[in-house]
Amino acid sequence: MDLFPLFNSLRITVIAVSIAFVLGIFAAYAILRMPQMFKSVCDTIFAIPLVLPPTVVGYFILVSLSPSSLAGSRLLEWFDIIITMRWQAAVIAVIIISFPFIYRTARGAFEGFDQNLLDAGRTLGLSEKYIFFRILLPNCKHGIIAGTVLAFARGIGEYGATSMVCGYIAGRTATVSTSVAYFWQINQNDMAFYWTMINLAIAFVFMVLIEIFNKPKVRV
Amino acid sequence: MLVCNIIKNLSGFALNVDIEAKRGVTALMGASGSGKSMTLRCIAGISKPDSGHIELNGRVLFDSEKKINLPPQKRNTGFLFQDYALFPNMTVLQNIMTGIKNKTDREKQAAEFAETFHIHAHLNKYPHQLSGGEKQRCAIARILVGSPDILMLDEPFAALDSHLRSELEMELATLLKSFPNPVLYVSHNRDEVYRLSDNIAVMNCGKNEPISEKKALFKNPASVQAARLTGCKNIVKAISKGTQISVPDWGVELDIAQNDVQYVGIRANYIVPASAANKADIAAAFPFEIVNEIEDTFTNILMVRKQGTNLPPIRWEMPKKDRATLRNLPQELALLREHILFLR
Repeated sequence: MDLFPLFNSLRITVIAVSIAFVLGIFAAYAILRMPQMFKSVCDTIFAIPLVLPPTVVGYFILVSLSPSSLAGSRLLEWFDIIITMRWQAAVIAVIIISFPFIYRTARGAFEGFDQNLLDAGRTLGLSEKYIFFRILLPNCKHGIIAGTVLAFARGIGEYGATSMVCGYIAGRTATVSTSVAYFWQINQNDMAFYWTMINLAIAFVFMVLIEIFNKPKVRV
Repeated sequence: MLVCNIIKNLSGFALNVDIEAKRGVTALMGASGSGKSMTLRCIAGISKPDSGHIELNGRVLFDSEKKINLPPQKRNTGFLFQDYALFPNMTVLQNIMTGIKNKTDREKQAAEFAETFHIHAHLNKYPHQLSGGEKQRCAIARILVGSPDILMLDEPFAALDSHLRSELEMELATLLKSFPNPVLYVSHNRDEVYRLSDNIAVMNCGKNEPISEKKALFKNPASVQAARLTGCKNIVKAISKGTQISVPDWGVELDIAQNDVQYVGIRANYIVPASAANKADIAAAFPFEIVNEIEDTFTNILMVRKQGTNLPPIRWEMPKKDRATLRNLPQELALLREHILFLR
């Protein structure tokens, strides 16, 4: 049995969620310190992939990065790189789609954090960097981890944008979710069922993880 | 020495503070929402005044005209938050270590301070495992280990149970006496302020009254606000009339020649039976009736008014044993000249 789609899905999601993790946390931190007007504008933009159909995200990626687009043709000409129809395109799609999950949970955790602790750190002479990495992040880790697990779950099952930007090429761009659709379309029902079961198993694991991380330790 | 002269517009009122504090404890006393905590935050640099000048031991921390606004990290102020603001993800030792500015021997220094503040037994505990008093000691150790140029305490006992308070208050009093720099102390509790501070600035709606020595303030408060905060319960409008002051709410004329009196006050425990007073000291005496009597922990509170009137009652407080000897109530009550407060 060829397990490439599972490997490919994990590869795409691990890379994409790692990037979205860093971007989401810094976006959430940046937005905390913005003036009110920018705040609502940026918040809307950052959260929009949450409600947008993934095909729209896929469309934007194709329009901006395919070899016939402006940026895509430059990449090809200068670096000899083609992104679309490769697994790397799915990484970009998953970054965009999983980003809001991390951004929103991180923002919620930061906003709910006792601001006095940050101020106390400042009066003690601690640098903003120390305060962010050693005080804010560790105390918000439960919320952020829960959001990351959710982002990972959403990313690994991503279908709409992925199928648009890299299609289904066996052994190259196939993922667990595009495999189900592909085998169903070519009438290999047993293979479609097999990948469906793998998806179910992954979903089950994630639901258990979410359940674990959503329960914060009891603090008196 | 601290010089703080700032203006900041807040929703509801404007903060307009002008204080100078030398070594020793200066209390900012005021009702909640009078801008006490905001003043401390501006000095610490975690809130920014709209304009003004803040100077600490000759170092300018903030000056709106010269465009100086040092970040809190560079101000070297010690700020004790109401809930102590210990970092929940760090142990007592790690918390104290965050206050140390130099890089060498941090663990040893922190452990020494923990010993001084009697929390060395809890070095590896997390804040949620500490009692209120231990939390406070840990927070103070964390602040003092960095030798701040000023110590600011924001209602340090508000988060504690009352039986812990008196014990910790004594510890804190000793500590504050030995601290070599100015201490600003915010509270609305008059007894606490009296015990802990040397000088007092009364704050009212964002403005401070001039700093006065605490005994002088309690003996002779100048304003209605100061009188109320120092515990004077009977404050009423008054009108100067040549050789007398007319007090309609008490139904009496005080035999005192004093011009421009707007309010007068008398503390509830200074009212005496007329028969027990020297006649020459009496400003006014009047027959009275009891409207209500309340038994307090150690005193009896009698709400009284001039006999046969419908005036708002005056609060008269006495120790319980005095109340027992007063079973046969006196004919008249006396207000003594030396006890009348003239207020504006």
